[in-house]
Amino acid sequence: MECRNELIHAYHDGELSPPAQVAAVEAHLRDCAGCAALLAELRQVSQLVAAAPLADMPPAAMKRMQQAWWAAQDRGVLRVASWLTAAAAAVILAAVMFSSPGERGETATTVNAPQFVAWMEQSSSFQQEPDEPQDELLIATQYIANDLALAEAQVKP
Amino acid sequence: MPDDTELLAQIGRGDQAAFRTLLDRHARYLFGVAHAMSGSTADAEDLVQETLMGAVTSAGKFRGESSVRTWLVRILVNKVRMWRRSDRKHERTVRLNDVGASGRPPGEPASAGGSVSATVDAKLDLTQMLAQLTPEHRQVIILRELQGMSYEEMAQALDVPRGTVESRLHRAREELRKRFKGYR
Repeated sequence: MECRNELIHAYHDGELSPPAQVAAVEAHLRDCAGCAALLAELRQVSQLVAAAPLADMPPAAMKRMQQAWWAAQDRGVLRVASWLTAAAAAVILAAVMFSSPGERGETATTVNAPQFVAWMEQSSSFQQEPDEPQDELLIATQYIANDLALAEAQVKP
Repeated sequence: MPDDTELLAQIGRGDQAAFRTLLDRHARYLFGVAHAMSGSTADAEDLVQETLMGAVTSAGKFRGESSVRTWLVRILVNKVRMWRRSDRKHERTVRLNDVGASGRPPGEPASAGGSVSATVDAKLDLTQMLAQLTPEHRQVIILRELQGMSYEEMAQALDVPRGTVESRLHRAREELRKRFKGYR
């Protein structure tokens, strides 16, 4: 086997395969002082790097990271709010789709607001993350129900 | 005490204590790696914070194919890549703003020659050791020598062909060999 540095690197990193290639490199290392010296230096570099201490993290940084987590948890409220916004949009769309039978000239079924809200609560898209406060969802549901009831009142003859 | 995989699941459910435990276990290591890659304390802290936030939001995607630490390092590598793209000046050789344990400016060898003599008694930290490498060479050295990633894993983490990983690693080691010949 001729001298090939990339094979010595791969041997050092355990990246050689199949076993026949490993055996060929090992046989070459026994006969080639230059490649054996390269392998020794690669091992030294690896040991140096592995032994070099990592830079210390300032203690205040740990505290700041925890605070960032708390802030991100607070932003979880905004995530709930964005769900509610999407839910409110869906309710308005449903109200438009199911109301105004006179305008369409057909008999349409109006959606009963409490029924629709009950459906929304059971819908998978409205499922809460575990441990989220229940009262925010209830408040939002009531808000949507009131809005939908108002929309119903406006479209009924 | 829950293992890292269980901690991730708890964090996914908003468990603050689980996040604190994950922080305690891995933040310092991630900081050291981020510092070695970026050369800056402030940037390293930002990168670790983004890594941990990324881990929290994607905790459900962890499949257990590697250790949690390796997974976190992969996220960090991705953050470093985005960070470098967002500010092109980071692609130049790093300007260290931290003086190492030796008290010398970073990267300055103890001896007049190009290599560090064996008589240097101040131990270089990893950031100083890697300071003179290009960012690409620094990354492969860290991932290979610290994380023990395979060539294939590094190629995936860095989003480059395997051959590129190999050639970068060879060149990086060549630089380190020249610089630290005889160093103990």
